[in-house]
Amino acid sequence: MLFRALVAGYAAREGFRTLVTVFAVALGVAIALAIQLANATAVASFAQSVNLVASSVNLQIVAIGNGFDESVFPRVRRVAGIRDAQAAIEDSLAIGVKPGDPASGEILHILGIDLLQPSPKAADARGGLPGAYGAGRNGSDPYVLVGERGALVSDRVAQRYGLRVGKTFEALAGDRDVRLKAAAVFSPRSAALDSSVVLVDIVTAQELFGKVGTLDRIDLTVDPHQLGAVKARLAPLVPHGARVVEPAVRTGEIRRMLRSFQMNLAALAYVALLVGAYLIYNAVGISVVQRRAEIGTLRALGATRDEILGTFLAEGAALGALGSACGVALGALLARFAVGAVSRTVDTLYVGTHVDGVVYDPVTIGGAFLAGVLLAVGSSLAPALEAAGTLPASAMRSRGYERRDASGGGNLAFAGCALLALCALASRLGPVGGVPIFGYGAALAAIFGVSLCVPAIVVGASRLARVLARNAPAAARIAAANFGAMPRRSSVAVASLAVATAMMVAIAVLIGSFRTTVVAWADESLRADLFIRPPGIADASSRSRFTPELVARLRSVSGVAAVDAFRSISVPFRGSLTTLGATDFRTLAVRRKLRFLDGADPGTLARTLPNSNGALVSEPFATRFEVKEGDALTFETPSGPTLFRVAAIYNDYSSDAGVAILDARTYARLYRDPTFDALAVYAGPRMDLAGLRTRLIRAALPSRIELQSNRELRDLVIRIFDRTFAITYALYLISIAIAVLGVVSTLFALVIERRREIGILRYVGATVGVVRGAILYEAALIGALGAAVGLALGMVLALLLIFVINRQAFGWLIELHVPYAFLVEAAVLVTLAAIAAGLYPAGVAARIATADAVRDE
Amino acid sequence: MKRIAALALAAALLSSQPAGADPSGFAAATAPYRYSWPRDHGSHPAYRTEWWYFTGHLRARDGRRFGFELTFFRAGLRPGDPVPQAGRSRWRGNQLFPAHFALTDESGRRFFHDERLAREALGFGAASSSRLAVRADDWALEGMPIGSGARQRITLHASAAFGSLALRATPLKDPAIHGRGGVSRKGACASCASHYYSFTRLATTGTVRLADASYEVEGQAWMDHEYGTGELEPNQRGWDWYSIQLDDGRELMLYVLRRSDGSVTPQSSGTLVERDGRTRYLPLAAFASSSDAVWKSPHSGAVYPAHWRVSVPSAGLDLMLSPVVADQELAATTNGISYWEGAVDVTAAGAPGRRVGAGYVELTGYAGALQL
Repeated sequence: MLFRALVAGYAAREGFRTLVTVFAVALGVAIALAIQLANATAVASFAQSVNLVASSVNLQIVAIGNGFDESVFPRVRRVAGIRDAQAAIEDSLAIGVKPGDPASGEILHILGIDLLQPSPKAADARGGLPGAYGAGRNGSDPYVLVGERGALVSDRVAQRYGLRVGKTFEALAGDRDVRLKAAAVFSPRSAALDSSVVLVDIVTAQELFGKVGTLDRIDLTVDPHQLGAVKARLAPLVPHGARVVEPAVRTGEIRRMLRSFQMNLAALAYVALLVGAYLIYNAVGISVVQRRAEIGTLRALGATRDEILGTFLAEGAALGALGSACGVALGALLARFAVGAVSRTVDTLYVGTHVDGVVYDPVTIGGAFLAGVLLAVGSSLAPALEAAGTLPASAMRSRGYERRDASGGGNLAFAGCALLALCALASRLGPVGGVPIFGYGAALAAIFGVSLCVPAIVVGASRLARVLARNAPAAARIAAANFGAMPRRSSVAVASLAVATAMMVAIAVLIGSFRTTVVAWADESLRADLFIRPPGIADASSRSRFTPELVARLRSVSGVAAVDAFRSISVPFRGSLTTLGATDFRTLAVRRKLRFLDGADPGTLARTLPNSNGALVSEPFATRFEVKEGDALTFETPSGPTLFRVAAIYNDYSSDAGVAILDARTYARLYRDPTFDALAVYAGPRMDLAGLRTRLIRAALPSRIELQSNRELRDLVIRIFDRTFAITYALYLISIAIAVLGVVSTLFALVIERRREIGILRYVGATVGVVRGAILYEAALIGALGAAVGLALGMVLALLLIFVINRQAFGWLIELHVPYAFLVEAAVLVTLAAIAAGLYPAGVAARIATADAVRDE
Repeated sequence: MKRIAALALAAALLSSQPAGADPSGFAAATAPYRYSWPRDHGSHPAYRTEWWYFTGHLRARDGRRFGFELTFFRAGLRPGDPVPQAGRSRWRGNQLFPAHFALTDESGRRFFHDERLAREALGFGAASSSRLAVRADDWALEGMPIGSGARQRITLHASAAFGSLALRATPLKDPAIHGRGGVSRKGACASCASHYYSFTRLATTGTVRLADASYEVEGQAWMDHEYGTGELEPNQRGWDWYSIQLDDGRELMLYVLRRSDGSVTPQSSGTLVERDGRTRYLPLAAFASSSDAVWKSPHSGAVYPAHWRVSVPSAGLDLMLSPVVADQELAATTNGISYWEGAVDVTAAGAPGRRVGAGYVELTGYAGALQL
């Protein structure tokens, strides 16, 4: 009853402001949820591609690097305790690629399995797909599957590329054009497969990708009670080039690899929610102030403190629940876009995933809803406590006035300073298990610390404003007086605006610094004139490779001074995944592309490392795995576990998963893999690059290559960088939007509250213009102060992001570059946005009828 | 006279020939043909289709009765043995080895079936062309010559989720050759024929496992071995095939090829094996078969005959055949084809209830026409 009396009616009367608050919370929850769903979907879609063949698979034999000898397969099948074994080849095809356009087309994941298996369990193992058999008349013709490179494609792929059953289509397998025939079209949903998966018979896969005699994977369905025993039985059978692993472990490796990236996004998303929490605090605070008289009356009539407290907490909870409910709906919608953005980044930088739809995990959704409600209840606690503390008599007397805060926010500021001290302390602590927990804690402490200092700052600023406004027009003088008169109200608006601004500033500084650093690194490390890649899309899942013969052919093209060849594969390392690279270490001294830390000398390395087990590791690798120069690393190789020594650590921004580079000959020997996947071509002096390009393309035939000039590759690096951070930009724009809503809400409340004052002003002769001007001036004050505090807080956050969080989470060494011009623009923009936010409340204030407003006096 | 899966498979394989495969490269079954055992127990890769087909009736010590079918097929993609080639996957192979395993729990009135399809890759599916040895994944058939090698001591192994089979079977008679001149005709066309012989009575012992229970069993089995390249005629819809082991020591095999218009292919025929192993060719005119009941499959929806009267007047035979379990359909097997293949009790037509033997019946082409 009390809730209805105090809150429900009020919320209805204050419809506009309630709406704004609910919307702000909704936006915060929506962003947080969308990002989380996108993160979860990226991992889930990878988990799916790990499991690919069947959900019942609980053990896998997976190749390390290149495939392992297929002759192990019959022996594996006979191991007791194994219910089913499926041999598989994994690779990728590019479809729809237009020559010369690396962004065109799509990478399709090829899964080569024994499609002729008839039994229901095999059909189940194919995810219920029509193989050759088991699907009635829809079963594909085995001769098409084996003899004509029949492929089972998803309905999405079929539709997109106009494939019908029986139609032949062209694709790129590695550097060669190949033809396949659509043998059946499946629905990815019913088959529980990713829509980018193309199933072919193992014959097709082995012959298409030059993997005759090898397998990439054996998927096993093992009696769960015998898992341990089966592993033990498999151990002596499995060759060095393969490892026995549970699918969950592989998913875990991916999750660990993506953890830092995803956590950073989630943290940013929750800052948006935090801004929403300020608005709840503001909304409940205003409603407490506005209803002091009613509260007083209720208290006088016998309502207890607890009842009052509960009522206002309920108001917060109701706002939070309403906002969260809308937020969940909106978030689920936004997730579709966020998933696109997140998975593109994951695709480009980490592993190939293909996301067909958002995975709407009920736990994540429930969690976001709960977070919204809890944050709302938490942020309404302070105003609710204040309401509960209202003395019946005093409240009835001073109707509608905010209690003047005599301390000028001193106590709060003290607490705030304590938090800032805590922030300074936390920023010095190291990561816990690779996670910069204290870094995030320091950021949170900074946000709250500065927020708590805002009332004191507001009081100080209002004094200054009054001094400055002494000779200013009446409207400014009124605004300056009002601004300091109710410091807490203004403070919340200033604080929420500051937090949002800080987030924008922090991200801008981080991205600006990072970008500048990466550009400098690219300039230094990308020195060749032309870069050659296999055709297809720039995608982490592309598996195309160059043969040594092709490399030799390109080396001998006239006008080529030198060719550096690179190879990189993804390998498991210490429970996570990392990139293993290979290049000719003899060129280290000549090219000097790598920037070594600790002053390692490229000349010495070039002399000592070739053909040895010395490895160069990137800075992120060293950070992630906590290794230093001289440490020993053990990698599983097809030649058995092999010890490598960290010879030097170099500066790198290509992968936060870390890179360890071996000498090309060491790699080729241990991994039995003489191929390469990227070439850097140095042209002879004064060479005509266009002509050289043509000669290289011609020399490569019949293989197809993709060439990029130095300029183009650098542009690509920056494009990938920008794409990675696109979602971050979107995040901060949204948090600014939320904060501006906060300003609207605050000013609107102020106007409502000051009806009498405005009435009196009008009564004593103030014009409509003065009244409107006063509100706008106040908006400007809030905006300017919010921007100023935000800039300061933003710089603190930026430093935390650059030197603590990113350093600890990714191992990035980022040089600080402050984009001053952008910061000035941002401050002006925030102030202007605040003024714009004041327009509507100012309009309302101008319409206040004098007589009505002063009737109370 | 088997059968459907291998024929359908071969047909499917031939429906779209890849470059380099020559369907005409397979040999045709033509008369006269002289069998040469033990060599002819083995595989004949020159022919497109081949099967080794076992059915039987088994009895455990506790009286529990089982019927079983275990068939190994060979479907040739290309004639002859594969030739390894650089750049060609070893998973290719020239032939495929489908296999069907069905177990009828007569006492429990249950029926189970499973199948394999082994490629000739990495030794998953293999058939020796010099002796009796066939393997499809973990299912296997192997023979050890007795004497001259025409008779073989045979071991059979198959296991599925529902149960398994491990049997030793010894022929009590020499191979019975069907048809005339070593050729069993299926139609009017020149290639509509096969080479077909049977061990019509094998003394069988071994172990049957059903669920978690194991049974020591003994009984009698029947083996067919048939190979050829021929196809069915376009208007042939399916066939009814009967194998009967009479308690008086004789055996009877009959096949009736049905046409779409309801008529019977004139080349339908049978063989009567006397107590001493001598065989008598039975042309269509020498026997009669009819059915007076039907069973509708809940799996495929097909309606099968379910009770038969078979008579061979010249041999003094007038028999009633009734399924020991109604549902013995191998539903949706290879290529989605369903067929009924089941153990039947054989009684005298004149004296209902008096058992005179045991048999197996195969019914194809009832679950939709065979589109071969």
